Amino acid sequence: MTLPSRICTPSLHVSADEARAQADEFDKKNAAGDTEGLPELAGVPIAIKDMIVTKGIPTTAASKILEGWVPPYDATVITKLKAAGMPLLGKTNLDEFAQGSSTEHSAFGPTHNPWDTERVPGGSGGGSASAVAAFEAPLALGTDTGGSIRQPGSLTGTVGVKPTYGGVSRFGAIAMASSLDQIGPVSRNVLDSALLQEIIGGHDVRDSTSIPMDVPPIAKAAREGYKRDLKGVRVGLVKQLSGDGYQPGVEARFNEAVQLLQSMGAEVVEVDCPHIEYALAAYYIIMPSEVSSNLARYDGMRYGLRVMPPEGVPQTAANMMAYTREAGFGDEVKRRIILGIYALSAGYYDAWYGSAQKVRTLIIDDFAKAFEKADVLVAPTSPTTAFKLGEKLSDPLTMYMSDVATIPANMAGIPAMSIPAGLSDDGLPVGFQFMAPQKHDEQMYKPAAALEAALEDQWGGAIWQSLKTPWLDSAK
Amino acid sequence: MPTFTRETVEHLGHLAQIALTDEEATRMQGELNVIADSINKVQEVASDDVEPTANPVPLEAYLRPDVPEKPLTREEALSGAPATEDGMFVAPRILGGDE
Amino acid sequence: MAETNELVKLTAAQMAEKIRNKEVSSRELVDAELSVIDAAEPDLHAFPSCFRR
Repeated sequence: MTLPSRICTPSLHVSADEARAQADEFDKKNAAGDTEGLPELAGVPIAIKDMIVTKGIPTTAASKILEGWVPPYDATVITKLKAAGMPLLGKTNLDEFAQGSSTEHSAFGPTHNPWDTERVPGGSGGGSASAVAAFEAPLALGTDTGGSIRQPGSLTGTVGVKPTYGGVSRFGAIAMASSLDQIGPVSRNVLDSALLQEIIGGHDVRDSTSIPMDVPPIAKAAREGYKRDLKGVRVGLVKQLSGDGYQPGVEARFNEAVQLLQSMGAEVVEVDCPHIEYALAAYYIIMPSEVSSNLARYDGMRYGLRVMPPEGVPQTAANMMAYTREAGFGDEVKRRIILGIYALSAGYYDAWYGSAQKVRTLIIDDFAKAFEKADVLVAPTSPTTAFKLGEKLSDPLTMYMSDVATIPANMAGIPAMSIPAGLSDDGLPVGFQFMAPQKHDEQMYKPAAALEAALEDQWGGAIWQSLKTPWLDSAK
Repeated sequence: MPTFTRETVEHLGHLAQIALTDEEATRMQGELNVIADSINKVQEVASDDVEPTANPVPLEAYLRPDVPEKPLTREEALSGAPATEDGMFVAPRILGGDE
Repeated sequence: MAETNELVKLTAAQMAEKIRNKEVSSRELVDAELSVIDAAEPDLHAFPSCFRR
């Protein structure tokens, strides 16, 4: 019997050699004039959230249970990036199995916010957001199930997009909650995200939830938006996504940005989505239920960690699985699996999971009604700016509240994005969220680009001009 | 809804195939209340006349073209395995112990 | 290095244009990013390491 050796990159999940080789290969093609038909971002390097499988490069989901696992295949989005000649810089940090809002639940230690390294970058995709905010990469990919791209975007002053559910293939995205997960772009401006989403999006037969349509014309919409003319665009303020629990500085920047949209010709209306009050509760039934099912595959059999039972305990397969999962999963993941198992219990499945699915219908209907009155909906992305490391760890519930404004879009399958709206009174970034109807991502890209342009006019440049970057001075 | 009993948590751990420690099982009794509260809350609006939604962007099932695709090779499929023998995954024995 | 600083602060679309115009190579961009990563990672930890911090 052969025990294969564990491969574990002792240093960072930076794939330096692979990135250089990929870049050299693209440069050869470029020099030979062989880049006909490649996308606009061809050759630009990118970092990838370690929740997306990359052939030959360790992929861990920031979990001990996959430590050292090297995927034998690429996710569809990775295949597309490689075809575009975009070098993969490495795999970025996240909360374990994308479960968290601060990246503090990574089995490999937290990521720090470049705006204040004593603070979190948000989560679950804090690594991608921090990397882009700190100029370690111009672009990154993330995954968003309840806000994991958008909330870190908000906390780090970057752009983060969750496309329409089914707009980007999930083949090769490590599954967390299959009816909520989406892969999406992370960048420093709206146009970059649009161009990246056009590369990774589109139909894929290997994902049965992938929508059989092309990516909507989002880069065109972004470029239109940069003209700063929003006449005819109806912007809906979601009544339920403001007020109690939202920091004053966050609300102030949000309201100023809404005024800026108005000054560019947008018509602002208030929309009432009463069932959004139930979104968090429904999410914390649906998400753990799907997590408990999706994480059942980590059982020490075919890949990942295997821990045999201690002496005295029968050395059976069942016991091995139980001890492997006990050792391999962190506290937050275990918590959510147990919650999900409970919600799906025989005899209660309809009453609990079934009820949550009904709330989902009500939220979808609320949004559909809202989109009769507005072309795009807006809200703050996160109720607060970046909190300190350790601040929200003692009570899981306070952490869960970070996603109160982002969860509704995942529940409804609608596209949503966050762009920087300025700094709060504490000097930390605030995010402004746009939401559009299903399959009409372009309806959010246009006003988002317009707002970005208008804000940068006010600031005399991009938001990151206010970011101190001591590490750039020491970079060689 | 009452706080979760110790027996319930241990039973859930068994169903989840996680060998929870004593400390974890005790701690979780309180932590699981978030789901109890969530369940109560959604019941407020989940009436009989509302249809449940499974997929928020419903599609009609479609088939892919009947063209063979290249699967993983045996080596690739075995490449992450904790233990292999003669091109097979090796698992601990299935029978022969209590739980 | 001043050049690295300027390069890495470009947007992706700007980097892409410079690549098309042959002003900069993909390899130069990768090298610039790798040097920023080296400098920033001790404080940021955006790319996780296998060993627990």
